[in-house]
Amino acid sequence: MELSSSIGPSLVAFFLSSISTFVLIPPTASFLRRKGIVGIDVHKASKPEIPEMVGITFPICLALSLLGALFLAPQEAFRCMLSFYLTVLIVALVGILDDLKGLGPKAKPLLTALGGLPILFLGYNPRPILPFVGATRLHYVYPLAIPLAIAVTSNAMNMADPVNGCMSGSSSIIFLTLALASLALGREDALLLACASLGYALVLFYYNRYPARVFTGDVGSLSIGAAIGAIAILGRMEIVAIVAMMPQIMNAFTILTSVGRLFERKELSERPTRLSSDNRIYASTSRRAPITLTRMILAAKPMEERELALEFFKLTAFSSILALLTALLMEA
Amino acid sequence: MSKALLGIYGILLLVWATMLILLLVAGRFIVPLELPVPGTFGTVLSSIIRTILGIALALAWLYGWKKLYEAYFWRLIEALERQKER
Repeated sequence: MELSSSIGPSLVAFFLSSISTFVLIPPTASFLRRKGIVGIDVHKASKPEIPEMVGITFPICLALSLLGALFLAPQEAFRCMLSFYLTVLIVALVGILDDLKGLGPKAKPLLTALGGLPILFLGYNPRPILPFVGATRLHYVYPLAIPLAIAVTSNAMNMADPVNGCMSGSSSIIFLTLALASLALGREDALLLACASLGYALVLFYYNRYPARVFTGDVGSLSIGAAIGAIAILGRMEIVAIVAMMPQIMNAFTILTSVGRLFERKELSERPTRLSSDNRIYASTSRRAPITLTRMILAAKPMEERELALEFFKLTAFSSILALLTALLMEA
Repeated sequence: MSKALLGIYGILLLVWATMLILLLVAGRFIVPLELPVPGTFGTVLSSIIRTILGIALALAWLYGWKKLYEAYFWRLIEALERQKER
C-alpha cells in the first residue's frame, strides 16, 4: 500500500473506531453494572463502585473500524489486519478469563504469549530495523521473540494502570507515537492499525479519565498492550515501541525483580502506596513493598490522583519523543 | 517540576542514550563479525557468536537500567524517610 493511499483508510479507521467506542461504552458500562461487574475506585474517599471490564469493547470497536477501512484499503493489507485483529482478540479472551475467573500469576503471561501465534502463522518480517545497524537478520530468534513481545507489552500495560485514566491516556500517547513513526517510516499498514487503536484509546480515555466513569479491566489493558506489540512487529518498529513504552517496561521490570517472582496483586503483604485523608497518595517507605513507577513518582512528591496520572502522561510523552527521534535515526 | 521528578526523566534519557551507543557498538563491531572459519560451519558459528554477543549486550543494558533505577528509587525513599523523621 502506498503511504498516500493509506492515509484515507487510516482516517476512516480512526473515525469509525472513535465513533463506535463513543456509542458502545455507555450501554456496555450500564450492562456491566447491572450484572454486578464493578470495581472499587480505591483512590477515592467514598470508594465508589465503577463498571469494570469495559475494555471488552476494544475488539468489537476494532472489528467495526477495520472492516470499514477494509473497503478502502488494498487487498494486501488484509493479511496484516487479520493477524493484528486475531492477536488482539486472543489476548482479550485471556483478559476476560482473568477478569472473570482470575488466572494465576504464571498462566497470564503464558496465555497472553499465545497472542503472538496469528502473527507467526500469517506472516512477519524477521528483519527488524535498528538505528546504526540497519535491517538485522533474526530468522531463528525472531519467531521465538514474537510471543514474548506480545506477552511483555500486554502485561506491561496491565501493570501500569494504577490510577484513573493512566493506562488509557498513556496508550493514546503510544498509539499516536506509533502512527507518527509509521508516517515517518512509510509503514502504511501499521499506520492504519495505529489509527484504529488510537481512535479507541482516546475515547476510552474520555470515559476513564479522573474521575473514572468506567474501568477497562484486564481485558482492556492486556488487549491494548497486545495491540501495541502487534503494531510494533507488523510495522517493523520494534525499537520505537520499546522506547515509547520505557516507563511501562521499567515499571513492570522493577515490580517483578523487586518481588522476585510472578505474583497476583492480592498476594502482596505491603502496598506500594497509601491514600491519605487529604486525598493525596503517598509512597510507602517499607522495604517489603514492591518497587513501582507510581511509588517512585510519589517518593519524589506526594500527589493527588489526577496529578499522578498527569505525571505518567508526561513521562510517556517524553519517552515518545525519544521514540520518534529513534524512528528518525532508523530512517537515516 | 521538582528536582526529584526530573531525575526520572534523566534516567529515561540516559537509558535511551546508552541504548543508542550500544546499537552503534553492535553495528560497528558485532554485525560485521566473521570468524576465520571456512564453509557453512563457519557461517553458522559466526551467526551464533553474533547472536550471543547481541543478547549479552542487551542483557547488560537491561541490568544497568535496573541498577540505575533502583539506586535512584532508594535514594528517594531514604530522603522521604529522613523527611518523616523531621
